[in-house]
Amino acid sequence: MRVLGEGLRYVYYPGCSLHATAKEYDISAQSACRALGIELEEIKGWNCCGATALPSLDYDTFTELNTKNLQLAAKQGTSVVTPCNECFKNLKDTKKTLASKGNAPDVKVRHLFQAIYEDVGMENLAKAVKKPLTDLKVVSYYGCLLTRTDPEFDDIERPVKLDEMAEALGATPLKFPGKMWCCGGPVYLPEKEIALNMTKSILDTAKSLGADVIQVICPLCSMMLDVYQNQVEGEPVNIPILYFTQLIGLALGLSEDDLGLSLNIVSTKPVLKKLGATA
Amino acid sequence: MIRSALVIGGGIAGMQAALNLADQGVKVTMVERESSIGGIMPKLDKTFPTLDCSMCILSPFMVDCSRNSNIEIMTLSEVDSVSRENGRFKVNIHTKPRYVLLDKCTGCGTCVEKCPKKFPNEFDEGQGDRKAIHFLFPQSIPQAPAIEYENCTYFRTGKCKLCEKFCEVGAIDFEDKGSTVEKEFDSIIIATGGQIYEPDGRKEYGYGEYDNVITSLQLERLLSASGPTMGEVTKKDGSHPKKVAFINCVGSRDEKVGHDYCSRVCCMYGLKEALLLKEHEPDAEITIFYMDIRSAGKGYDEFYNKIRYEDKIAEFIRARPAEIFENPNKTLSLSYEDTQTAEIKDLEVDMVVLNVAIIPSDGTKELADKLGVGLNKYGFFEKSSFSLGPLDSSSPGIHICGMASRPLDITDSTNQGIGAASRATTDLASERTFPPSAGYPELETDEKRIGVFVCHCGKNIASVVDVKALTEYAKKLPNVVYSEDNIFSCSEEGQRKIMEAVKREGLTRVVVSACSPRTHEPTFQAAIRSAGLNPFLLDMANIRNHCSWVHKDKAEALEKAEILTRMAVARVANLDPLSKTSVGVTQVACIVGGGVAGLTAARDLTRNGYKVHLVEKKPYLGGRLPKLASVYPEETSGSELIMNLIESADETGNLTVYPASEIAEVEGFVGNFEVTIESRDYVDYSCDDCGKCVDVCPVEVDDDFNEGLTKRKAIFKQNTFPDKYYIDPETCTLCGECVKACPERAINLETQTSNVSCGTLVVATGFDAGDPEELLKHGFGSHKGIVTISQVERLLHEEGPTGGDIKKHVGKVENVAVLLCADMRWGKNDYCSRYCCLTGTKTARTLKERFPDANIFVLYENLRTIGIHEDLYKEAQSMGVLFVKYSFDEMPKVSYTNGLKLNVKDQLLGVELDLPLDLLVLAEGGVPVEGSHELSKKLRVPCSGGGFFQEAHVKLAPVDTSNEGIYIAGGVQYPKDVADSVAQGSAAAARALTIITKEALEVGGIVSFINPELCAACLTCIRLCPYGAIAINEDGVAETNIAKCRGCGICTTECPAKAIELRHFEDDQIIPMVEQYLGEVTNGG
Repeated sequence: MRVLGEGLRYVYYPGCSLHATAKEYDISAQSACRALGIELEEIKGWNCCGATALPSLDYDTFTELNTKNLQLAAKQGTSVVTPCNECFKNLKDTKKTLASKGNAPDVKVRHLFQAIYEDVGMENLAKAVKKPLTDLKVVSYYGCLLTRTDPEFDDIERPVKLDEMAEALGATPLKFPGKMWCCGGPVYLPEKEIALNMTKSILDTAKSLGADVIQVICPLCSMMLDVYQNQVEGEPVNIPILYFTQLIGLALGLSEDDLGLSLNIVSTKPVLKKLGATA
Repeated sequence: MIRSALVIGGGIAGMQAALNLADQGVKVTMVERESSIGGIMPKLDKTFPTLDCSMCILSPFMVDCSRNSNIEIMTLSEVDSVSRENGRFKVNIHTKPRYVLLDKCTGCGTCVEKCPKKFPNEFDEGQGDRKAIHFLFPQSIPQAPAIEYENCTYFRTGKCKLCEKFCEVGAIDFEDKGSTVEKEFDSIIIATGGQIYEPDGRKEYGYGEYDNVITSLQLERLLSASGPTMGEVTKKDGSHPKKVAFINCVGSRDEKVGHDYCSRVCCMYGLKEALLLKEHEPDAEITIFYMDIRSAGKGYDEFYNKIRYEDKIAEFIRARPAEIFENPNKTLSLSYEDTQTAEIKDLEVDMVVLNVAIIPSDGTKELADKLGVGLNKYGFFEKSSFSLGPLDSSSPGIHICGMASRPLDITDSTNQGIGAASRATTDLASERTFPPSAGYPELETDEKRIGVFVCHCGKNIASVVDVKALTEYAKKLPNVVYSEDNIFSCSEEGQRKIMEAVKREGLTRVVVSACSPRTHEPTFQAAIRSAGLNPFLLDMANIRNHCSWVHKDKAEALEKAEILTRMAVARVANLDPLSKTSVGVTQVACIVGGGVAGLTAARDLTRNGYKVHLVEKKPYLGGRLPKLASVYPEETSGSELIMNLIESADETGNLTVYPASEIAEVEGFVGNFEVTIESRDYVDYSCDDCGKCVDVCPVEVDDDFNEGLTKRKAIFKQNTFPDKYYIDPETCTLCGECVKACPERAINLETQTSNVSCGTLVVATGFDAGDPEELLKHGFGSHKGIVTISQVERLLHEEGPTGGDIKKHVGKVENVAVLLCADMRWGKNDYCSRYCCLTGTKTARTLKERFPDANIFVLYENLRTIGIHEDLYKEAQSMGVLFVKYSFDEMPKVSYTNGLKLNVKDQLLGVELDLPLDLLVLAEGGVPVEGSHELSKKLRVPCSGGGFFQEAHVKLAPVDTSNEGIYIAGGVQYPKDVADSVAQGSAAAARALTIITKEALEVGGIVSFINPELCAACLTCIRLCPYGAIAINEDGVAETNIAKCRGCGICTTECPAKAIELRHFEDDQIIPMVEQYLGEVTNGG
């Protein structure tokens, strides 16, 4: 069989989360890409993107940090991808800043999901599926930064491309009004209660729709929805939160370990059970 | 060569332009890309604030366009290319195939019936269906269907042709390839309008995704009796909505979608739709989400207050909902923050109406490229100057009107459309051409053969009155030989059927049982006249306004319709054929008021080659404009703008100015007015500027030019036109000291009287700023830190009392508040004067520019920077001007102890602010000028409630008055900004041109006739006649001057000797009606 992503090679910027709290995202991203024939090459010597805090405190330093990442990436290739929404925004914004001054490094910046969607394509992805996620009811949760950073890629308020991907994998995407709601992540530290209330709306709505899984594309969203799920008031919702790379991996027939499924906080067993992956 | 103009666009602005050009003797070609003219108005149910039926008031204009021999209508057509040659335009016009031959089609509609294919109806905004061959709407002009190529079965499969098969006259032509013609024009008017914003950039509202989120235009179609649901407001599932939310500013005031501007009409149409919805669904709970309610226009704020505070039609929430979610049961949840309580809330409704923005119409860019004219940053056609060239493009000979250049309501589109008709004819040398009069046929026979035509008015009448039964009933009435019913009698097809019946059945008199003769009598008169009958042998029974619209019980409604029709039949049998006679026209105009509107009218009239007498009360020209330090958005001083205008009017040599003059008397009638002008222009041009007169003048008064900030003598000089010394006749005591002191003998203190003859008058006396009484009510007393906007303009003006340095007046400028609605909307002046939010915001911005470190607050109730003035609001905000919303229930309070202070409750923060101030600027509103009522009496033009002059129709005749030949422009009609005043000045000029371009006019017809045998010369009629039309003649009895008589009938009813009859309403015509009515009561009772 022809390897899907044959010839696709991206410079890879995991960002700090994927080396720490979101290890399963890193593991699954690497495995899924490998299975799709995509080569990921991590930026050598990358540094912090400045996350949410820095750009509002010291924009110059923020720009410098990201300029360095971009320059390093440009040395290794022409296309850099990152699985983290925050890293994506900061790289892309910085590139825009530099472009306005005429000295942007010659490297294309995309979110990993965007790169797979555009370069592999959903039709090809569907063809590569080995174990279709039949009957798995998926709601797609975007978080705030992907479509706002690149409104050209998907609609800001009503994005659909993650649903297309779920469909390509054989799952059943549900119409989910909470797609673009805020996960509460950025205010978790100063205003925990408010943040968890926001998380709760997303979880409750997904649950009320009968979703089996919420697919996410951002480590901070996952932090709120997955890690803090048990801190949310009221009855525990117990809804598994999977990265999109984990869903791809499952459909491509990769193993639990390949996808870091044991690292997710809310048990992913019910998903596996539904898919018949484990008895 | 005959003057000719191209009007691109057949909406209301284009139609007004075309009709007024045609009526000035200009040949017009009107190009419209749809299959019918009409534009947006035919889609609307009713119009605000008068709630007239939109289609009903529009239809006569459409029919006039089609009937006018000076207007050629080209539908399905677009401008292909344009070039200039010898000062004229060569234009290629491409017409798409209609596949229906206009010269053969009778508009019978059989083809539409037989067409097997249905598609979503674009005219109904995608709601309901229409056939592949269809009329755009029932009253479409031309009255012929068109085949939609993309949807036609024959064009797609090569089979069908049912329409062709059933067409009895062979009007279907599948071989139609369209055509391209080249035509030459002297000028071009762009009237391509705007279109509504499809809210796809606001996905969070789920338009197109959720079943019951619709646009305001979709709701108009649902409300409309001729819409897809025949006037029933239903949800997708067919049930009626019980909870409805309207969201304002969808796509307007919205950076996200690139429309930063305010669309100017949506607040008002939203209010109107809420009201109509409540009428349709009395139990519905309505919520309106708004940012500011911008009901800025004549009668608009009153409309808003009635809906919100008196009738409580809806709940108003100041919020812009963040998103809408559809619940599984198809109800909709809105999340919003109530900005007045700072609470985050949810509201569940079953229907959401998005009050969508107006955007440039499709193809604007392409057309602009072909014409070589520019676009503004929002993609509308760019004007040569926003304020002084609102109807001109930057390219000579190309003019713009209506929504092609910015969002406007129907009134302003009309103003601009009419105005463009005077702009397009200035500086043209070629000939005018007028169609010959249709004449007034005599009765050929005494035989009374009456035809009765019963109108369905779509569903307006037919849904309540059984029109078939009424038609049958009419057949049995005395002298009635024929009757039929029509879906729309006023449509081209309906009229054609009347004409055909008159000829075929040999009818001698006609009754139309339909709507109001006020709007439609001229239409049907013209129709029967074309069929060879005298137009006065017509009567109308108003079975709509007087019957179907007010009755619900069908049996009772039918009975009443029968009575009304029977009465009309009784009257029409006794009507006489009347005729009008021709009188010569004095081809001169007189303009009262030399402000920006009057000067604009003067410029347009003089540049059309006509003599103009311009009468100005002040000793100098310019009105309010030369006082202004800057005009937004030009940023030039008012004096500079006005001087350009004066020069442009003066250089033709056609202008005579009467400064310091007033109208003493107006006699006469349209075409021939005699105006007596009293002038107190005491200083002549031999003055050599020595100034000795000023030294000796003992009268010292507040200088009104400096808004009372300085003093001046009764004789004075300032930098205005004409360039000489002025004596203010209002304060001069005629002591004669100046006369003695003048070495040049340039002063003469005598009042000069001039009599001028003119065919038409334009009244442009403007408005006054500020009501001192109202301002004082709230303690805005005399303190040097408290000034009005008008005063600030002087204090910022380089030639003003402080040389432009406002600090010289107040000391320091560190803390400033501008109070909007200082004397408007909450007290005696309970209306919005429309321009003050603009001037107030402009002042705040200018002060912030001059004093960047100052704290500058604008206090507003609802901020009404309408249209593109929203840019100014944003600009001021971004510079750091702070906007504070206050409430009329908690008016800001001023205190003087320990310095000037203002206490205001901020309605958004919910806190009281104590602002120490150096300067409090009161944004005073516009009030009628002193003496308006006296002038209105002299001119016999009524004033509306507030004291502004009353227009003939608020929407479609905004510069006409009830006295034919007298037109109004600018602030005299209602306060407005410079651009709107200029547009109206041009509009008044265009209307005046329709009179004075003609050598003769028709008079008479419905006038009073005095029987000399019965007249006792008691003078009752002479004293009562509001038009001065009656005088005692040589024989010593009263006689009516038919040219002056307006047919009001007052003399007829008041004559003690019963010597007077009003033609067309004579006793033997009215009494039979009464008998018919009473007869029914006796029989039935």
